[in-house]
Amino acid sequence: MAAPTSPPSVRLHCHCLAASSFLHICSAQPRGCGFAALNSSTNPAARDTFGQALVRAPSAPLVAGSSVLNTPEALASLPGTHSANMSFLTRVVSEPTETNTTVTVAATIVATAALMSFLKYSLWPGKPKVIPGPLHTVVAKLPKDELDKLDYKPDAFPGARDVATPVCSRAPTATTMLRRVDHDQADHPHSTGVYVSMNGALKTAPKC
Amino acid sequence: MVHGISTSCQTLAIIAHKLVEKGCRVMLFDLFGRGFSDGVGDLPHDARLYTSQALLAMASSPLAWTGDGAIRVIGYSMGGGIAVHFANAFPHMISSLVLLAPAGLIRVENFGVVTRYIFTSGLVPSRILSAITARRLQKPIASDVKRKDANEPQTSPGNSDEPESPIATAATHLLGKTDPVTAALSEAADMHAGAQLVPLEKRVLNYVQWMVKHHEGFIPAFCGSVADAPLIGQEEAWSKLSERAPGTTAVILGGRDEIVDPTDYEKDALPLAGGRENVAWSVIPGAGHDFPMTHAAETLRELYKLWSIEA
Repeated sequence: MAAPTSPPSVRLHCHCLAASSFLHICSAQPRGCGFAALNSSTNPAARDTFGQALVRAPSAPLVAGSSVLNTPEALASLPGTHSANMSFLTRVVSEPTETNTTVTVAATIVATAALMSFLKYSLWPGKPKVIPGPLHTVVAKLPKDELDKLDYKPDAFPGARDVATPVCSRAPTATTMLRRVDHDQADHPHSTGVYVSMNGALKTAPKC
Repeated sequence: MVHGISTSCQTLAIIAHKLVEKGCRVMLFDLFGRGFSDGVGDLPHDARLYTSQALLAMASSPLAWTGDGAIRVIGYSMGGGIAVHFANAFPHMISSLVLLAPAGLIRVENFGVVTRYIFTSGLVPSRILSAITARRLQKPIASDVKRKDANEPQTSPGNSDEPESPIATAATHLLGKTDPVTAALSEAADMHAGAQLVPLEKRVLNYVQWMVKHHEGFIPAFCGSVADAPLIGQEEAWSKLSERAPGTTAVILGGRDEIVDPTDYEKDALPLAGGRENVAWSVIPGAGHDFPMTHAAETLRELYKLWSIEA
């Protein structure tokens, strides 16, 4: 009997994982199909695949080399590789692994989706059509003395007015404020009413 | 009058009031996301948005602002880039187009390929980019941009006389001589260390920082404009300016402007726009990017000359 030629414990873990992953990827196959193949002497390919994974169980390193296990006789002669024992092993080792892997994969998908949603919301927030300007947010609430301290006041240009536009309209509110438009009278350059209010306060002045 | 990327129409206040004194009817408006205008969240902040806004502002008036040769348009900085598109769209409406330190053909190395990519690619999450931009706007650092000034030879050593190494040139190309935030702030105030700010510059700079805190649409508008507004690569739009009648287009630049560099623009923009026989081209010596505030008298002198207004 050949001595084991490969590092046992680490590769055991790797092979088990590989088998488990394979079963899940080929999810159309019935559960336990891997072990059904292992117990069949007519399917050497399947036996090779799963046999290596299973025979290198914790009890195997002292007795098993993969080259010996390629025949049914050799498998049957090994302690711990009897078919009954294999069925037991199937239930104890393989089925919980499948279940755990299924749960793990499902949980991973859910967690990833949740994380991606959270990141998208927090890092790339949605884009509202209208982002209210300070007239709607802070200026309306500012007391007069605070308003007077502003470096650019709403009435910095006399005659300022607010214009609704379809680009930025917050229907159905009719008083949407978008920008300030300031102007003077072209025909009365020397008038003191250079800037004309559009809010009706200076009804005698020409509109512009 | 159309203002720039990071400020309100406050920057044009001195010029506007003086023009009013001369009998002009002046319309100013805050671009979306600045001043007291709401922000637009779901549209690109490009030339289409802002030219539409200008049209809407004019159309809202009971008085006529449109018609053949009905208006003169002044665009400052990014507003200049917008005004170029507006003039191309309505060539007969605008009897005179005046561009003050206009954006549109800013060389990409001024912003840097990588820096610009950060704003345009969307790879950096918008919330993180907004937070960084807001922090930079609130805590401006002094600009260390090297100036290339044909009119004012450099006195400091190690400038344009010494050729840069290829590595340094590549690094400058990738990272930029400055960043968009510093460049944008230079329209609010002279960002050079030790610069003496005029009162209006201080108010504008304070207001920029106030907008960062209190105007929810400001940072999105700023970042959106860096990405989409007509700041660089507008050769096609500028070449259409050559179709305007001679003398109806004017460009005024600051001699010490490191963002809209007068030397670069003379090489890049002037030939596209039809040369000096088509465009009134002037440079205000010693003026930085914010010259409509710091050199308003000189700017007005150019405007009066263009429009045959007695000073």
